[in-house]
Amino acid sequence: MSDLGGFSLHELFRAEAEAHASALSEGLVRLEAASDAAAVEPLMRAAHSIKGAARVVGLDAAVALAHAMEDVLVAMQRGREAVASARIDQLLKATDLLAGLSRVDEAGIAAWLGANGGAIDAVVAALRAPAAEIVAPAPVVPEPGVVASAVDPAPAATRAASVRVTAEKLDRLLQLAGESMLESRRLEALREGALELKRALHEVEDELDRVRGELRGAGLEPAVVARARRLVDRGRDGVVGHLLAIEGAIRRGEETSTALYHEVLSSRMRPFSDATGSLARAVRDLARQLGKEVRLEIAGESVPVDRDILARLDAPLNHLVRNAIDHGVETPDERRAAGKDPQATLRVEARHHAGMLLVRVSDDGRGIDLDALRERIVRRALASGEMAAAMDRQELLEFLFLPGFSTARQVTEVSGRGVGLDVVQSTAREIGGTARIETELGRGTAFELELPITLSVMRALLVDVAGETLAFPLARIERVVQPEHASIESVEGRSQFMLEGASVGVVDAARVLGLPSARRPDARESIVVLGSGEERYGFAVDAFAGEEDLVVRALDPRLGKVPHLSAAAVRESGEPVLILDTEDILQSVRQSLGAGTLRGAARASAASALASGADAVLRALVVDDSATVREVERQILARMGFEVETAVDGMDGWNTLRAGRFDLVVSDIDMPRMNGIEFVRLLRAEPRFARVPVIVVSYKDREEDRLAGLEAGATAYLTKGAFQDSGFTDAVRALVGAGRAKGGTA
Amino acid sequence: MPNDPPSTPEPLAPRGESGVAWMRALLDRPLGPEELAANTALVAARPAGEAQRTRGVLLFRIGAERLGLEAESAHRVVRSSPVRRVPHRSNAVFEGLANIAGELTPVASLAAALGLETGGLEGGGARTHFVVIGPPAARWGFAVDSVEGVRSIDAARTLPAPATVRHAADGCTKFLAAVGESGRESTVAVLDADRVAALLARRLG
Repeated sequence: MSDLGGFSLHELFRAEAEAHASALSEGLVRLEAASDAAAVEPLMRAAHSIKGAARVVGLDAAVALAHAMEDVLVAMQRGREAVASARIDQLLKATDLLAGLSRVDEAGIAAWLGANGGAIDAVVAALRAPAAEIVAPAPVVPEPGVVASAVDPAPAATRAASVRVTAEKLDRLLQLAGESMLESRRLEALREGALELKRALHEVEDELDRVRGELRGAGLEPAVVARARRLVDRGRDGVVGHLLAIEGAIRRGEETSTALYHEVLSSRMRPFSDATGSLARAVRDLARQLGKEVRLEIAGESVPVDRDILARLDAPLNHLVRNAIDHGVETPDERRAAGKDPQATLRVEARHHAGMLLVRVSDDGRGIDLDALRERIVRRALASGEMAAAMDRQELLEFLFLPGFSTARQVTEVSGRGVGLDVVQSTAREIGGTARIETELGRGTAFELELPITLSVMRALLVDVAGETLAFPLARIERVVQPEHASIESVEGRSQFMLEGASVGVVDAARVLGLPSARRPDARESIVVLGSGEERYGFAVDAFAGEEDLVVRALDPRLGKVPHLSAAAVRESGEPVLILDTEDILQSVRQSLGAGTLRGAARASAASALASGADAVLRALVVDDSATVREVERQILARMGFEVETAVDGMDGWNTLRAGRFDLVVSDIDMPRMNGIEFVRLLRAEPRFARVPVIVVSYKDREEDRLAGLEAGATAYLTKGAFQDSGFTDAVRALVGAGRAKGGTA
Repeated sequence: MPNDPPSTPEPLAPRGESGVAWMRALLDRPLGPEELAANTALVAARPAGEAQRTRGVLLFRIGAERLGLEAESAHRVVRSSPVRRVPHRSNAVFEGLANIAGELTPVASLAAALGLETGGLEGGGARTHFVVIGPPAARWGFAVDSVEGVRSIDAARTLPAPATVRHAADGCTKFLAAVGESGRESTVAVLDADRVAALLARRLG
């Protein structure tokens, strides 16, 4: 078997069919809009390629489909047949079947063909039916020369020339390219060696000259010395020649390896248009199906996006577009009645902003009725009327990201959003971004995803802390300052300095990170300011060590989630460097300044003395990303006599939990950075928390969500409706009572 | 030295031009059918293990201790490079991460893990090389103070690992081997790479 780079023949067919099918799909929609015979050519080629590939793997059904498509396309190109919507529909149907086939693995082929055989035959038959039976308008007759010389407008041609490489292979290539860059720098040592040799030969020359001088003084002129001198001369010339050759080799090696490195790196970036290719088709089909008129505008198609992010963007983008057409956009009659253009505009836009990629899907449809939404939340017992009334706009809109929240028909009619939007939010969070909704009643709705541009390269500020080099993502730094030593003052045992008229608290980086250091914290004068507005903190480090572009690598999975770290990298010098998670650091700093753990030993020991007392107050930790829910839970628990601490997400919760003693943990599931499932799992993995009762309170009320929570280690799983009745307080009483009896602390 | 020492893998065979030529000649020579059959038989017989007459053992020193590792379980031996401590994770055993041939590899202190006598050198030894063990997804590097190279050990001169475990090193020992000139030989504990890796993994996180 020849080397297919780890892919089987069938997998290669699938890859090829998938690429061509998506090119066909795009091209057909474009052809329908512009009825341009020149645009037929690449489609013909795509159909032809699929036919050939299908023949290689012996998929006769695919051969028949592609063949029928090709024939119709040839007829269109030659002007024998017009480009008609009904024909395009058939061709799209055939394309869908081929795309479907490309998603089936070898083992599933027989079953797939069994299930779709009828559909394939029907489409083939329809395509084989003469065009006259479908349409009769005047054909577009191109001049033959024009077709041949036309510049191919479709990306199909470039796509066909691409190959597939596994992500691991690309990562390894990148590592090796980085290594080869370092290797060529290490050749410098050879140059040093040659220089050394040159110096040594120079000394030999001097020595020979002295010998010759002395001998001449004694009246001797032996030929052997002159010959030796000439030989040494020649040797020295040789070394100099080598030195030049080595320097040239170093330079070329460095240039080539650097170019290789950047090339491999950039192979990870693709234009945003890769993610929008299938949208035109989706918009066309859905609008046609729902009897709506929608114009799709795409902006920022050339914006480079990391391929890993692009791959993840596909599903959410498709979802947002479908959602907008299904629920956001009104029918042409409704629009006319509202004094709007009967054709709605759906805009998909990508741009870079402040080191992030913004993807925005906006419509000029009916917008979301917040009052109706609030009503719906209360009716579904997700919050009390009082709670819902207190929720702000963003908090209310957050409900739309809840799985299954508005699948019910009446909601789609009233406010109209939410089918599967949880996928959009969870995907954004998984790749380190956020999802946000903006809406104006009657004017439209916009979903905005803020995502990292790449997961692979990051501009970073390097700092020294306790002998280690650490990296701050540059985009996350407010600023860096080196205040005069005297301007850092101590107030109530807390260091702070004045920045633009505001006082900014300073914490010692080594201490937060738990890196033992001999330096006194007040000796550090290099300060990285994180956060914004009122929430700014100074992070005191030993020194700034410059900026560098780092190629980000995931931390070794064996380390688990390391607090305060997000990733690792190898510097240009070959040194390893760890990349800090600034959000996590801010949380810790906020926490420790609040709890006073960084303020001195006295307070901490008083707290632990209190905690160890037999009559210790019961302590509860509330983890939820909604301020409203946190407050409701805090109040209920406080009324029950708990001392309550709160955390805004799983990561924050985990750090808080480990810093104190808690008799009860109440956690949400859906949270940024670390969700409730991960949090509970992490907590259960630690022996000292194994018996702490954990109540999960989530909006998710499906059985599978409940099971996932309990499997992770939750003691009880309640839905937020439990606040309505005594469900929550009953659970707390039952669990903490039992917990205390077992623990024997009562 | 004005430049970083190269951290290329140390070849365990002859070095330099002659070594390369020798290796190439050795590897490029055509194999006759008998030779091929003999080699096949040799490779096939390897899993039998006990029947082997000699074993390749990588010998190295950590502090005052001389230790061994079966040559085939050492993934590579490289010049040492800086180790980054990992906040909240680094401890006496898990030192941190190092860039080993382009891969960020966890580095551990074998001395701390095995409770070896380092003769007051605790962490301050020469640390000339990293020995890398473990499969790709579970690599470990540990620093050694010198590498003696690979020696052939006569299987007849090996002893089973001590039955009673006095310290962690005993628990990780595969067998004891006598090395050196006859008459002046000393006994070296040859470590079991799998058990060492498992021991290190327990101290991670």
